[in-house]
Amino acid sequence: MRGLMYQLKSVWKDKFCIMSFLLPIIVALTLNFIGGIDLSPVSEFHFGVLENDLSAETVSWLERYGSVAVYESQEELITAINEPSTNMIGVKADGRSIQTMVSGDELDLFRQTADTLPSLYMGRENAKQISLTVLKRPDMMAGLQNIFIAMTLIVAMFMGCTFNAMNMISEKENGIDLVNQILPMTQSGYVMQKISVGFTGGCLSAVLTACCYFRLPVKHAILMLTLIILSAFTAALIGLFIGKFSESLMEGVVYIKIIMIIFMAVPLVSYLLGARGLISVFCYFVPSSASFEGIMNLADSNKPVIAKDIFILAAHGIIWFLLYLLISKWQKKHA
Amino acid sequence: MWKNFCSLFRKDCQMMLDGKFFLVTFGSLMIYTLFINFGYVNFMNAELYNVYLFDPQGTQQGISELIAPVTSLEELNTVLSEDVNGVGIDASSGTPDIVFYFGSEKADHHRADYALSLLRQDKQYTARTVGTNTPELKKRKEMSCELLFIEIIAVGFLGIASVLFKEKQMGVIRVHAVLPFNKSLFIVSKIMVFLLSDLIFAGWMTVLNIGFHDAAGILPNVLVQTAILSLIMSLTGFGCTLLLKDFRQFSLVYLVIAIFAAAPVFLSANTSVKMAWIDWHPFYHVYMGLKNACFGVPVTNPVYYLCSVCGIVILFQIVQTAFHKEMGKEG
Amino acid sequence: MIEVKNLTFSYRKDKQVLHGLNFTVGDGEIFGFLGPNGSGKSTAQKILTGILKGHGGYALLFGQDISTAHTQDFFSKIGVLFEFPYLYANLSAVDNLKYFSSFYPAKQLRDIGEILEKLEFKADFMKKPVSSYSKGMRQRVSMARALISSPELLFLDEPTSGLDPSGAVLFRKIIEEERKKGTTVFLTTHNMLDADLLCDRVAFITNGNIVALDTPKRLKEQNSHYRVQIEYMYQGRREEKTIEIPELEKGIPFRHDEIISIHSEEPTLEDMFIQYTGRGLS
Repeated sequence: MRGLMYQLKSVWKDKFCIMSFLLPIIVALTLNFIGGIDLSPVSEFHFGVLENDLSAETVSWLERYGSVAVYESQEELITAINEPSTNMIGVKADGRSIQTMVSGDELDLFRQTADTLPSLYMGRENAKQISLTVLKRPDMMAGLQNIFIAMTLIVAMFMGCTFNAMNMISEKENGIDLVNQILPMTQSGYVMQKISVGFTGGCLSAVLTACCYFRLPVKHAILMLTLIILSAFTAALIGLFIGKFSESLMEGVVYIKIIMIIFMAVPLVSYLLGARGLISVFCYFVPSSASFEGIMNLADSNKPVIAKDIFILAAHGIIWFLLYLLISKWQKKHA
Repeated sequence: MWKNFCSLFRKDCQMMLDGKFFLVTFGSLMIYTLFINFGYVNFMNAELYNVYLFDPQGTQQGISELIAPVTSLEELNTVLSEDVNGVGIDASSGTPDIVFYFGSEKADHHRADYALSLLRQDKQYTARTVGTNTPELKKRKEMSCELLFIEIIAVGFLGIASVLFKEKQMGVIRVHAVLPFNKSLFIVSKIMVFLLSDLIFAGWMTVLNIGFHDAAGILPNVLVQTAILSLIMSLTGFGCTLLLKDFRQFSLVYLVIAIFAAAPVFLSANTSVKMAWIDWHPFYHVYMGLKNACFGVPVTNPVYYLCSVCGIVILFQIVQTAFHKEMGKEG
Repeated sequence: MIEVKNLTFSYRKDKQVLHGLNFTVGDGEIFGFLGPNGSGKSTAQKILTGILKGHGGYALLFGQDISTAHTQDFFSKIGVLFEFPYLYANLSAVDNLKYFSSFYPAKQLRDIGEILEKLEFKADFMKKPVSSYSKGMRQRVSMARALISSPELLFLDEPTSGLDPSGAVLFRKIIEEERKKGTTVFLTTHNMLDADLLCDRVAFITNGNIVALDTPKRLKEQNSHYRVQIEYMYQGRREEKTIEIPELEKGIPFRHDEIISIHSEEPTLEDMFIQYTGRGLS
């Protein structure tokens, strides 16, 4: 126990580990803050018009749907439409109607909007008389934010990987691993001590991150805690592997970055692509896929079912642990 | 001088090979290419809102095929709660009532008017196309540009630091201090290796993901912008390596640069969210230069090139000073 | 070859390391700087080799002021062995030497195989990466790097550090051979034996000052006790006596059956160093 305390002390003095610990918490706080800001400019349309072309009434009508920018010449308007970072729709007068212009490379949403805009213009008088029922949506950015927070939690949970790897690599660099070999400490004792370092850090970071963002009912909170514990344990084990096989700090940092990219990219891409069947099975080989799925279920649904994810994470924990013990035994035999 | 440069260049290439840098770069190229060709171009799309109609009496005639009919109010509520961007029309009373979940004030005006327009069978209209890119080509160019930017800022920057930290650790920098050659060549050689590597990467990235035919027209400009970014990042990485004590400290700086420097640039350059101070962000201009080059928009602002050259020269001077200081340090 | 007058240097305003060094080194001489860690000997060497700039006073190397002397021509005439063996760990001995020698004019280069053989470098390690070498092997490769360009002036910093006794003897032999060829050697060390056996003249340096400068022999003679210690057998007993040297002129001045050994009580360089500086070499 005392040994563990000094190990933790050594890790807490490492600026890299402190930064890795705090980063998810800062991101979670930021996301919480962003939730209160009106981001409507992101979802409104952008129109470009020529000076003195459309009537004031038409421009006001366009401003109901989004922002309107006025350009002096046709060339300027076309340049603005073709500007890659925006999806501007050009609008010109066409007798009593309007005509629209697009660059041709925008998403279907904007192309279809441009195609239907003249029709909306013709029916604008009827639209004024229609009755509207607007239902309240609690989180405007909920879908997008949930993905962000799930990614942030993944980073926090798998922080233990960084802690362990950096701790073991530092020991190698300082020659302490040689000292460890002549200490009266069993192999399993060493492994448990190292796992505890990463596990503690990862759990703490993830719990604080979750508390910064989520307000879950008790039952869901327990499920979230289970996810965090299992993920942090697996991450700590993976950190052991990185620490064992890295020859230098540089190598270790590269491995950590590759692991973190895989942990973040695989669940995100499979979620966005809607991976099914065999592909989703392969995705579960990366432990963060199960964690991500579990977090999204807890965030989105009133009755989350995450038993499968918990089972997968538990399996990961057991398999990685056994693998590490096997490799250590084999290395000792053939040393 | 040429002979000395060749010796240094050969040695640096050997260091990069031993450090598996070229392998990592090649791997990155493959992963990015696979991602763009089989991932990004497929999932990045957005359609206009779905419109659902509840009209048990059949009061609405001549409606568009795009409207999806529902059989009950409960079904209407259910589909709307699952598709929160969708628009529901309740025509059970004979007159259409629009119902939807709040999005934003202006977007909601459009949603309501659009849904209403689908109740009429208006003449089909197609907006005029004024550009030359297709949606797929735009996605390819966008993502190629972003990944190229990330590769040079994140991977290349890390690569030069890794090589230089190794040399710092081995202590061979101070051996170069007593060798008969122009010491600036040590810096130039490393920068050249990374520049060449980045140019080759940029070339292949462009050709593989945008297509040979489309890439041919934009490649020279893309390579020029890549060269500017590569020189800036290589010199920055070189400087950080010499000025910082060890790789651990460097990793922190690297994290700050990769996240906080790149994030506002991506946000401003790819969305309508523009921060007031973004014009003062050097990476923003370099990224926009690269993006405009990818989209065939000529980058002709002389001030941009002047500032880039000045920036590179200043960075080189700083690196040179730091290098001379490093040569005099104890082992 | 080297002429130094009133050489001063400060790393910072409050950290003056050299307080006015004065010495000369003749052509073909082995000149030693003997002093403990932090005495300023490495700093002096760095200034002379052009690694450190911003010194006070003046110094001439090859007849040129060192402020302007550090050109490519200058570096092609010197060889430097650093305190630690700085080599590319991922390259082999041969590749390291090929790389470093590529900067020198081809006509002055020595054969790599020949020089490594002279340094008794194990042939089967020549093509293996330096990371697999022992400390002694790395030191041999570093020495080879310093000698490969046939330098006129050799700067050696702790050349026998990390070597076993036979390695140290070999290195001393090689340094002697270099001197016989006419190479000037500037040796910085805190190893008394190296200084005693190799140096024509030695300067004691401490806290940035030269406190003594002479040949090792004269430095010891100046403070010699002129005594001898005689061990002998007398009436079956082993005894020891110390007598003044002049007493010996008339023969052994005491009764004895058999003389076992006679040793002169000469101080070591370290003894002299302590006497001059009031502190040891380590």
